[in-house]
Amino acid sequence: MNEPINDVEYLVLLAVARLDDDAYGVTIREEIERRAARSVSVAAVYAALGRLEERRLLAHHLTDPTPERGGRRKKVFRVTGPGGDALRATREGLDRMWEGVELPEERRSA
Amino acid sequence: MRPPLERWLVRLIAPADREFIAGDLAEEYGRRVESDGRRAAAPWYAREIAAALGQRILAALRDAGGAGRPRIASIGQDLRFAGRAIRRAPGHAVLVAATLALGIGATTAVFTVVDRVLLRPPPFPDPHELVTVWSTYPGWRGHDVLGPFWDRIPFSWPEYVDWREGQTSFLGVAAYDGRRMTLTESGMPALLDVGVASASLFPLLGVEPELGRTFAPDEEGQGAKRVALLGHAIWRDRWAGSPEAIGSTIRLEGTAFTVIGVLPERFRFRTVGDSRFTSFDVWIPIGPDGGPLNRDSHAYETIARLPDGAIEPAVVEETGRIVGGESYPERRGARVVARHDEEVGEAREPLVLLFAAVGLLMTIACVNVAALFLGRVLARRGELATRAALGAGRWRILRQLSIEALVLGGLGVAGGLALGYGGVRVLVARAPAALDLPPALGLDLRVLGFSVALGLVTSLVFGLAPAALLRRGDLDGQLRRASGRLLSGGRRFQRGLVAAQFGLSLLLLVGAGLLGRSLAAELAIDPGFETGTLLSFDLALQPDAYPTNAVRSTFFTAAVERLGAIPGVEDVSGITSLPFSGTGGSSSFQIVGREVPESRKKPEALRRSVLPGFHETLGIELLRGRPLLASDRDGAADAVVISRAMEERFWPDGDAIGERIERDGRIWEIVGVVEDVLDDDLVGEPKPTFYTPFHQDEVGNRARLTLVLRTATPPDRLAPQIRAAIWELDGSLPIENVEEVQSLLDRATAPERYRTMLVGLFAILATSLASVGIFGVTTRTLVQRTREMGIRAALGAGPGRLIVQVVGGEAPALAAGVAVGLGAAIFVSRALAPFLYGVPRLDPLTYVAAVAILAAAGLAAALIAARRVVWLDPARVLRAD
Repeated sequence: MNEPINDVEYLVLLAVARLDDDAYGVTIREEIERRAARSVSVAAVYAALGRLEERRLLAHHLTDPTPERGGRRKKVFRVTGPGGDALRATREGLDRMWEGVELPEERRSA
Repeated sequence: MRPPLERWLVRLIAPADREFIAGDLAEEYGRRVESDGRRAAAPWYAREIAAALGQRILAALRDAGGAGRPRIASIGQDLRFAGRAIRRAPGHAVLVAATLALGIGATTAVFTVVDRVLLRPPPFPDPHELVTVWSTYPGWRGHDVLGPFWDRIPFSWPEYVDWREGQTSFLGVAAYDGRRMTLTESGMPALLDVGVASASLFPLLGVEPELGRTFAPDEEGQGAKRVALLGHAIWRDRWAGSPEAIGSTIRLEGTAFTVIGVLPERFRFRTVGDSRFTSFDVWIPIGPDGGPLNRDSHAYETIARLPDGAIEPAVVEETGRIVGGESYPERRGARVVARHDEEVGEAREPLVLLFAAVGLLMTIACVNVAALFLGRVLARRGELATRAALGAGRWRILRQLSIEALVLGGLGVAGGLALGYGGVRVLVARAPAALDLPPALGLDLRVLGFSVALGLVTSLVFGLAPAALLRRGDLDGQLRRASGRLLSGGRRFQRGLVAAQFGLSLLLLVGAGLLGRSLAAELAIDPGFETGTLLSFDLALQPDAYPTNAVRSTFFTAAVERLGAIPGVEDVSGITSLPFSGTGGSSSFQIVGREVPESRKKPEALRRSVLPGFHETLGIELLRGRPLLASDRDGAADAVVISRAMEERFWPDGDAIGERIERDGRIWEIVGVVEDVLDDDLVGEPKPTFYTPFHQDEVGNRARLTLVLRTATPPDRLAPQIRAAIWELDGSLPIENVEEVQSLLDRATAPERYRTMLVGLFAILATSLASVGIFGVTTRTLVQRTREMGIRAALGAGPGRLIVQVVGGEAPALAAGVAVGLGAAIFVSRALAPFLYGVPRLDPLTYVAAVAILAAAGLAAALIAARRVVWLDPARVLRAD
């Protein structure tokens, strides 16, 4: 089943890839907000993470509880082999779409 | 750092990822508190929790769709199904939505107003500590003029000072009063509401000035400084909000005051004994320029702080002893009241009743919604069975029903919101001024949320009832059994409820009827003068520009002349305080030849000072003697005209003409008797009144007069000409309160009209809901007895007979409800009795009409429900089972 991934999933997957060993809800959200200027709720991030993990594009491990999290553990994600493939495939697909595209001149609003 | 309410809020997150999401949120919340502060972090946290709940609901809906199906598409399908189901039974949809809308709208609107008036304390720190203290004089009890005030007498300044120095119970005490003073700055002269206060008032309330300072202790009393505090609004309007206002001067009644401070915008303060002052433009200290300082002038209301607001007998005793001096406790005492109670005043009791009744209304609305949904169970049986047979799982059906229920609930909520907003606007627009409701009062979000949630949950739970009873297997058989159980089990309960609804509706209809008839009787009362084309306005002369009686007389004579020359003006006169204007006082006097000793109570009556022709202008009939004339002026013998009530009281067996009374060391001869007028209460008895010629006697030294004009044209267009005429004489005079006299009377009946409107609205709501209830119960009976009806129809019973039978079946429940309601109404009418005028509390017409209205509504609802009997096709009915 090779369902294409949607744009939030794409952003989340890329964020996990960028974050190396420190990819969990807070950092993923921040990464997306900082780089893509998109505000996503923590719950939406987890929904995407869940779908991506279901499709084995991501895997996770749990950390020890910390006091700043109210004594809760952390779910840290990493990109799996198929996850890397999916990222590359999406990028290639997008790149091909971009080939030869000519857009009207960029408009800057004040 | 733990986010607020975390323990409960995290339960809204889907269990699978709860630990991690909650952990992430806690971690980020902590950071946000550090960088942006708690105020910014808490809303962020709330949004995140809401988003998590949203995700959870989406996921649940997706899962309910079953694996492998296109997910979003099936929700659209459900919505379409819901739309179709609603179109198939539009009556059901309208009833459910309307019932919810009524319940939610009424609950929210009434709660919003009640909360604002009753539950919100004064806007000061530790408001529960604030109390108001009155002095009492039991000797006034039963007196017709002073009686109502015997236990709410304001303090005089020396009494206040004694109390302040002598008391040991209070954390702090303050005195204040309101008065109207003329501002004679540049621009249009204006009459301001000026608060006069002891220096302790603002520190006691905990009010910090926005600019400058408040009064210092040495700026009050005998040696008071001429300093003033500006209210926020006047500072903004007249000083353009400039800090340079501090140190500038403001002229009140011609006296210059130095501005020392500006009060904050949110500062609100009102007098509680005198309903005229609900806010103040300017404050000055109590002193020679701002109110009397002698021991006999009971001018000042008080406010004080008690530890914990605990009004102990010892506190009252101590205060009474100080105020009453040696005469305590027989002659003078004190009364201590929570400030909040005092501000809410008479509004409390009716509003509490209303609040309770509205809660009941919301309950009834929910029960009716439940009954309506249950009534649909059997009707949907076939459809659901078909869908199950075609492969829809239990969850699928559940989901579809819940979407239908939510759509109906959503419509109800939308209607409820609209009704709630409209309702609050009506309640605010009609509210008596004393309630002091802000015009832009928003709905109370707490109760709105609560009633919306209650409405949605009710529709959801009962909308799902049929499917919740399903198990796998023989769906149709189950549905039949389940609905049978639902129908028979709940029916007695539902009938009981309908009976209760009828009882409640009857109670309210009777209440509304009694109040309505009382109001009609009150509006029909003749106040003793003709208000038709009567216009009035207030004129206040500056003491420094018009220092003597003679100058003022000359001015008013000229003014009357000019006003009389305006085309369309027929008559002009003036009086120190017009009936229903809420001003004016009484005087004691001695009857010459029947003097009472100083130690005993002297006769007392309302005292009014009038310009010549006053009684003619108002259309007050002259019974005997002569009216007051232009010739009754300085130099002529002092003349007085008295009212019929005054003659009957003091000269019960005969003619008062020629008798003399003594007041202020002068002897006044009674030259005429005029018909009574009502003064500020339409339902009260006319009070003894005497009228003195303004040109011989001015009450007080303020030189303020209300001028009245009888006009041939509609009086509302004359205001510009009146201003022009007066300003030709003196351009610095403020002309205030130009108003038709009728509207003064309307204001006097405003509380009655408000009460009647509230109860009436409420009775209509309750009757509508009771009708919905009877509709639901009849439908259920019908559905349950369809088979029986079919057989009867097959045996030849016509639809008419069947309808009579079905509707007749509900009659005992209705009769029981009406009986209980009548009993309750008779009982509760006792509570209404004090509000009723001209109609007995057991007025038969009202009771009969209420029963008739209710019976008609109930019968109509039952008939509408029963009309489907007419369409019964016996063959189909018998086949159907």
